[in-house]
Amino acid sequence: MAGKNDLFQEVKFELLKVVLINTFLDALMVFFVAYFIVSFINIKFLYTLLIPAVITFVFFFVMILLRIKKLKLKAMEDANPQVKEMLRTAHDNMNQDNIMTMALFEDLKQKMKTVSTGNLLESKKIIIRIVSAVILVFLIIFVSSFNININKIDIPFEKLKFMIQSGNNDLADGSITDLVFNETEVVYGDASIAKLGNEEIDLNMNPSMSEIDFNEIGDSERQDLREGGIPQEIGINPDAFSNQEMLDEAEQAANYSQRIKNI
Amino acid sequence: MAKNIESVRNIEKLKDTFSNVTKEISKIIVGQEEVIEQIMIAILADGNALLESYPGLGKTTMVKTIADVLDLKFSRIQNTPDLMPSDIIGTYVIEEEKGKKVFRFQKGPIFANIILADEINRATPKTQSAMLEAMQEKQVTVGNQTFALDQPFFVLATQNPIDMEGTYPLPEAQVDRFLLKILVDYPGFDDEMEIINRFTKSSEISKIRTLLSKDSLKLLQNLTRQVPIADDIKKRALEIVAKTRTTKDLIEYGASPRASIGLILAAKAKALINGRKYVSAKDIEEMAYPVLRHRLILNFKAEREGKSADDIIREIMK
Repeated sequence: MAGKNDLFQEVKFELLKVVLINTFLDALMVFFVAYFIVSFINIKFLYTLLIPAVITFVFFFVMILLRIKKLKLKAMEDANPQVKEMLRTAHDNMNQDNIMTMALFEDLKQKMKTVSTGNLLESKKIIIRIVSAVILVFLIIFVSSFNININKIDIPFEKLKFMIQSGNNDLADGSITDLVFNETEVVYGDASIAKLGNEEIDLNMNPSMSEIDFNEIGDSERQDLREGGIPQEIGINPDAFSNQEMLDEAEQAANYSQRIKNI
Repeated sequence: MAKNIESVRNIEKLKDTFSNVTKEISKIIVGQEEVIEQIMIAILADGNALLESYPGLGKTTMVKTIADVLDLKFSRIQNTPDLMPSDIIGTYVIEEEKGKKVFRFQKGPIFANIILADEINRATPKTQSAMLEAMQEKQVTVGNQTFALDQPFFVLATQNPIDMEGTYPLPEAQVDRFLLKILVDYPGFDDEMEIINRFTKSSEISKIRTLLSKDSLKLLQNLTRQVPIADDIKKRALEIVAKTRTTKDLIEYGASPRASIGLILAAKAKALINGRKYVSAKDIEEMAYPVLRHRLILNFKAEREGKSADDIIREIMK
């Protein structure tokens, strides 16, 4: 009787393995789909990963529970028609204890060795799932690498706004007027500090000294640096490095050392 | 435990045993594998069979060969209208013993293991019922004394489908006692050629070996009953039999619960012969024909449409 029960436990374990594999693949699909959708919502990167992960975990455990509940010998029978009648007969005659039933269970044990988990997996469905997952991965990479400029959707719920990205560098068309500031203390701090920014600031931008007129580019003149000092073009005042200044600085350093010594 | 393992291993060899029995029988009988299998099924299920065939198809030789291979005592009863019950059962004869005259029971041909009751429908109802009682009870009563028949006991009765004049067709109640009705057809061209070659070249007939003893046959009969069957396959068998009672548009009278028992037993025996340790749905469907065909009484509509019992069984199983 114990041997008979072991046989059915073994069968159920095989079925459990199949459920795990199938649910894992389904969960993987759910993760990719969720990630793809969430990537269009205006939230921090951490949440872009976290939300799909939570959805996937919930899906995985719910599906596992539902599928285990539905775990029946029928699945094994359907997947292995060669042992279908044997399994059913063995199950219906578990309480019988005669030579023929024993022989049937022995036979079934031998047959079950050849019936692997592979027989239970529907290869067509598995391939479809894997191909779909690969397509989704490519789609995600494609969308992110080409930086497709789609308007991100803001979270409609106030309580979830902490997820929104603080650095809004995704502008609709690059104009300053498109900037939308979220006046949330969590993100921008105390609103009173922002009042300091009411003062107008005039910014005058002059052309840089380093601006180069490419029309005037040519070979540099040969100069003798041994006598004339540093040329004007490189922007350093040669007087800054005069001997008098160096002597003054040396004197200052000596005085400083002396004062330290006295202390 | 070790004994059980050994027994289980022996069951693995059963298929080879039956295969060897068939091979041995085929040394004498050409073709007719299905008929031989069905006779073996009837023997294993501890039932009797009704053989319907034309004359000259080797029924007697077949049954004699099976009896030899299985180490069973064989006797043949040619039924005629003047055959009396005492001619088959036996009778008391007066004998002189130590100067006194005493009655001693002289056993009839029914005291054997395999009986070939040739053209059973030619015997009178009284003789038929005497034989059928022996088939059912496995014993005969003469006067006030009952004699048990030797086990295993198996009757193979034949009927000729043609030349029905002067016959006493078996009543339905008695036909029901036969587990199977086996139809024997003419051999194919190649088989008939082989028969001609085998029986016209030499008068010597191949010697056959005894492969099973009476005791092992009894053991096999016990094993047949132990073959496990799934509940849904049992239900399928019952559904088929029950449908013979509800299909009123074609069947006047359907099969009895004895047919249900017979169908399950025959399917078990078929599974055992084929080396399986369980009854398959296919076994039930294949055995439905020989088990049910003689138990159905077709109505006028079925006969008018030219439908045979097999046609109706086929329709029922769809």
